[in-house]
Amino acid sequence: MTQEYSSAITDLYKQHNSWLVNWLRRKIDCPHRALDLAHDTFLKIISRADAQEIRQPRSYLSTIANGLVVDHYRRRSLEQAYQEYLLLQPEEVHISLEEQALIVEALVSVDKLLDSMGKKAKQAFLLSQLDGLTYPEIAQQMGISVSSVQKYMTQAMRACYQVCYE
Amino acid sequence: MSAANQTKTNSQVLEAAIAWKSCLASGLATPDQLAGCQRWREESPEHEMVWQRLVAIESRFQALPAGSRHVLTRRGQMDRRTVLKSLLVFAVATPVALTATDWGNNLLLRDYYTKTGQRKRVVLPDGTELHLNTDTAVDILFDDQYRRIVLHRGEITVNTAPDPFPVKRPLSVSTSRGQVRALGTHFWIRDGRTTDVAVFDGATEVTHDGQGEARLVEKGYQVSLNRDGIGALEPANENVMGWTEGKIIAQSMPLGVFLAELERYYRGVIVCDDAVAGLKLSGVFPLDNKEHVLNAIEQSLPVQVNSFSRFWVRVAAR
Repeated sequence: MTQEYSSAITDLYKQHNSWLVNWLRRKIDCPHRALDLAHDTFLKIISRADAQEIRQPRSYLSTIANGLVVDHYRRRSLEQAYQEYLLLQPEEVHISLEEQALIVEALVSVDKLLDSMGKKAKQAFLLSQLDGLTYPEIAQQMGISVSSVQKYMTQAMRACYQVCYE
Repeated sequence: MSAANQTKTNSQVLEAAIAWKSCLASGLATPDQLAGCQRWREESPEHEMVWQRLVAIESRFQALPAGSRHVLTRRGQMDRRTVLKSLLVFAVATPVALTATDWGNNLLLRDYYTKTGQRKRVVLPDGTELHLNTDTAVDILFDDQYRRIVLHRGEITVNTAPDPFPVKRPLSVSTSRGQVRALGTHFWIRDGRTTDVAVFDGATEVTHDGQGEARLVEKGYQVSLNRDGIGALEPANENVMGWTEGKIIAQSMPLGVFLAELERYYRGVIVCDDAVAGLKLSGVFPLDNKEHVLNAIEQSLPVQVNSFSRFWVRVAAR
């Protein structure tokens, strides 16, 4: 990081960090999390290397922070659903907190990937990838034809590829 | 999010790779097809690279633990009463009274977006109706206490419904410049160079994030937010909602402004010469037929429409 760039970030931080933290506090209920997300917002800006060209700092900060807020809710929602799933198991499952955190991270990243495709494509894709079903089995479960399954699967793969690689 | 490479994958190669991957995932692949896939992979390093990328995507799913499908398909598809009932069965020792707060995970997390030229109507689980205009992205975050809509970019109208949830949750829309809290209403928001809010029924409270000021905007009025704050109350212009019915409604609208509006709905550029940008245009124009609209303009104003390609149109003096 050049000195010039580093001062651009420092200025941005000095002028707008408290504002950003308050803004985030209004959006999510946990004050600690608000501090974390404000911090993450600045980290993201540093990694994008365009802090010197920002003309509307608060608008820019809030747009990035908004994305992080959405991620926060997504993570929370997945965490809760995963806790629920563990509770529903007939036998007590012992997974360390650390391992649970890693699992949630993997789920968040896959969940985002799945947002890029339609609902039916997502359903078919998960039945194939997570449950290992063949296309005739997926067709039966979803009440559609095998060629429709084929169509959804290619749709899903294309969407994933585009998100990951393009 | 993207890999370090600069060039986009050749679409023929990608489609072929996807076709082979799908064939192998189907459970129906014959030995001939397996051999054919292997040959295709060996045909060029690019084939193999794209294949390996698809494999990498699949392995992210295969690395997920049991129960992931339950978790990943939870939104709106999980029958919460069934889950609650199972939780009751499981926690048999503790008597549980189902009160309003036991709705527990009433979390709805969903996003909607439209591409250029696309418009969408969405009804949320609480009955609230959203219209999304071209190039718009929203996130819906409903939980136990709030109904939040985040407008990342674009233009929407919101028609709120009273909350069927036992505890009435306030509904608000977050934009890049401020919050719009709904007080039982029908309103319109556009978030672009400025953030504009118009109310057509009921009222909203608009708060500017940066400046902290708040303004009550009632039926028949609109405000514009920019970097410096909330502008003065102005009469609300109902024409801004024409797109919800697939139209642009112009009333003495400067041609330059009209063409900038029209441009939003199509890929490509519509350039308006300064000489004619001030000409006034009135009328109701359909959004799904750019040619028709440009012809109509040529008929009614002293202008000439030059199409250099499907993606470049220039409107000049005749």
